Amino acid sequence: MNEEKSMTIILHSGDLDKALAGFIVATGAAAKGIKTTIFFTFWGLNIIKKDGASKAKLSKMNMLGLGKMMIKKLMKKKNIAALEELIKDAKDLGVKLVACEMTMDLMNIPKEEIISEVSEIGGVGTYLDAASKSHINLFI
Amino acid sequence: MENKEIKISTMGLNCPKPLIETRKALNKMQPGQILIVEGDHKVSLKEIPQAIKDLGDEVLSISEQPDKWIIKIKR
Repeated sequence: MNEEKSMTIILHSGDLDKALAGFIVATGAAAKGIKTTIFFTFWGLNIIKKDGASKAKLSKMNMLGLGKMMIKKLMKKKNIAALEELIKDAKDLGVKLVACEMTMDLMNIPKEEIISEVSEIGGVGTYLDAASKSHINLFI
Repeated sequence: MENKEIKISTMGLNCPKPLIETRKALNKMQPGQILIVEGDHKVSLKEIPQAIKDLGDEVLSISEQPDKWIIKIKR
């Protein structure tokens, strides 16, 4: 049994490819019974803004959106889940999504702009409480 | 109702969806119920049984056919 294992991810990046990697690891972990928390800060907050996931760009080869369009098309063709779908799956599987309060304030993002899948707004203490008990801690 | 087998298909789905859909289905089931998952994503055939054991559920059988696999799980 995996019931004592846990993982945290700091999602600092707002890039589509990096957010996808984060959510694939998070949902995979949750499916394996690993208690998972994603802490969204700085550009990562853009991913959990309403319509934010669909607006995310590629970190490389975005080419004014052309690269992203090609990747999205390929993902569909190869039946790879979209980021929006993985966010819903993460919520379904009990992944805890936490928005960073300080960077929300810094970037002037009110909590009304954050998607409902996010269950908590917290600070570095919230993150560290989870991270200090976790076996896997990732910064993306 | 408790003894009814539940079937899901993950045919065509890519990583990590077969694993996610399997877990979502199991989460809705009662202990003792049987889940039958079919799919064709090769890596998931190895990864789903491991994930099932990780959470203490039981893999009853795995059958591999040329174009798909079927995993039978007891919640």
